[in-house]
Amino acid sequence: MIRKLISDDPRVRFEEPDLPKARKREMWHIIRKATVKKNPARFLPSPRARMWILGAAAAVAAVLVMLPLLDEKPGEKEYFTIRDIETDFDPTVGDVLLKSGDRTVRVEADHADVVYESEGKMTVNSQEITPKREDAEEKREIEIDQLIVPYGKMASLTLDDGTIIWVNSGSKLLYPSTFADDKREVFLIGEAYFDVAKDENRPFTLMTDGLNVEVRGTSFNVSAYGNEPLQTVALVSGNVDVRDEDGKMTCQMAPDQLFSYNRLLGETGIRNVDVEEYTSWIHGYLLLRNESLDMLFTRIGRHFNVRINYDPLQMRNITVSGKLDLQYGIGKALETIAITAPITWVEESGEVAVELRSR
Amino acid sequence: MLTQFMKADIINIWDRFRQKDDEAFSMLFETCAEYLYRYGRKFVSDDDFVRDCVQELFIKLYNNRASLSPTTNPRFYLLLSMKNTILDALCKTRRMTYLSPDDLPFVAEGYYLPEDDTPEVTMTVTGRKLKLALETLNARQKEAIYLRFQLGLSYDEVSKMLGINYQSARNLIHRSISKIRSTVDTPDNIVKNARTSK
Repeated sequence: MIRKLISDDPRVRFEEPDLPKARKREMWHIIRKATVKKNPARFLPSPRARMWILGAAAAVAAVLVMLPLLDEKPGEKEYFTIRDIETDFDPTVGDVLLKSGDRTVRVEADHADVVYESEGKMTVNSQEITPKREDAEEKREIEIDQLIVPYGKMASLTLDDGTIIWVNSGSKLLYPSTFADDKREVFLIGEAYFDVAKDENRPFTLMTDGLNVEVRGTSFNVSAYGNEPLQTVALVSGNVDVRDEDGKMTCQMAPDQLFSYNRLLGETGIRNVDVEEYTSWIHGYLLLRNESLDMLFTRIGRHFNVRINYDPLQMRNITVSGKLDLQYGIGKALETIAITAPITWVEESGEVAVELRSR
Repeated sequence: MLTQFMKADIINIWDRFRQKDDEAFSMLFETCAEYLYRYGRKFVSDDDFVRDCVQELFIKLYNNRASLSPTTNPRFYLLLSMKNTILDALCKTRRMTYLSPDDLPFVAEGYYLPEDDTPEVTMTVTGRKLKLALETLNARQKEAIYLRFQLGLSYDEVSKMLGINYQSARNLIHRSISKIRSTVDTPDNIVKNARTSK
């Protein structure tokens, strides 16, 4: 944890007990039951999603039969505990970090391109690195690598199965350095676009804090930031099954659909969208359709790693549409937004304050 | 995390929470649960008990959210509420009518936070001396140091957490720091002698 020292700091610290993520989730469920949802429906599909579930009942049954493993053998150390890896990080500082085996690679460039080749070889921005790993014999668990992308940075990642992942600013991706023989599982906090290589024998599962997205060969975008209750999955091609982490709800998605899950209210929904709105960021621009300024400022603040101060309640009701180029800096981006939205802003000591323009 | 960024964020979340924004409630829990739990564990070692207290605190906050006041440091407010929640819960379980904050001793292992360029040898030596220095501090002094330097509260806030006035809090912290400094800065052999003569 990065913390500024106070000048007379005696450099004494006290041990802090750990609050495991699983415990924290339990606590939140109890609090939510007693407050937001007095009537505890853990996962309430929207009418539309419910229809899907009925329609796809056979498929759901099949999937549920296929996956009883998740709840079985609770004592055994399953790789599934990837969810419980400490995922806290400060996205506002630092460079792109790649943690692999005993190596931590820091990438100073704004874009990191990481490629896992065969036999444990890998390259970062075309430079070869070879992390030392435990001997296969000693290895009991699968080694988990981490890619941390702070605000203002982006990364692309090619895994050893040929899957390509674009990781957006303020995100953390966990994945095994080599996939197992029977499954491919990765965990995401933040936003990423996935182009998953087809492999009939090894289903690909993307996990977020709350959802599992099960994939065969396909491309899709997932947004699951830790500080936002809304998570979305936008499917570009192929098909995916989205389920909640307890496996109680499953929803099949078709291309050009957006699945959304509100972690707080436990509500899900599915609708048809122009998926380009959700994937354009990998090309350096945002395609916006009735995007609220509240959400938009959050997105570009992350992209440029600039704190944008505004009244969220005021900005939530103003929407903009169009193509917003992110290549020319935050000032230019705000200028573009201001063509249609009634805003003014001042930049001061690295922060931006946005207000409504008075007439 | 204590960056300016997070600080402004938490005020924003707090205000939205008071305006009955359910999303903000979830974010408040997301950002604050850990440090409230950790602070609580300094007084009670039973982790189930502390987790129950955090839950109770958030449920109480939710039910009273409309009457909460704006604050420039929600963290301080939450820490203080956490301490009171623990006191109340202890009163109930021990069937006591009153527990003073002094009946809640702050217990935690301390360690030395090295500077980036500290050589390893110095680190272990200083670390050992520091352990010794910490033994001479009482629970209140430890708590004051924790609140001020680990959680970054202001002197004013520390004084309110400990139920003493501003000047007393300053003195308490300064006395503790000079106690630590004098032990840490003492040459090695003297510390050793002090230990054997003990």
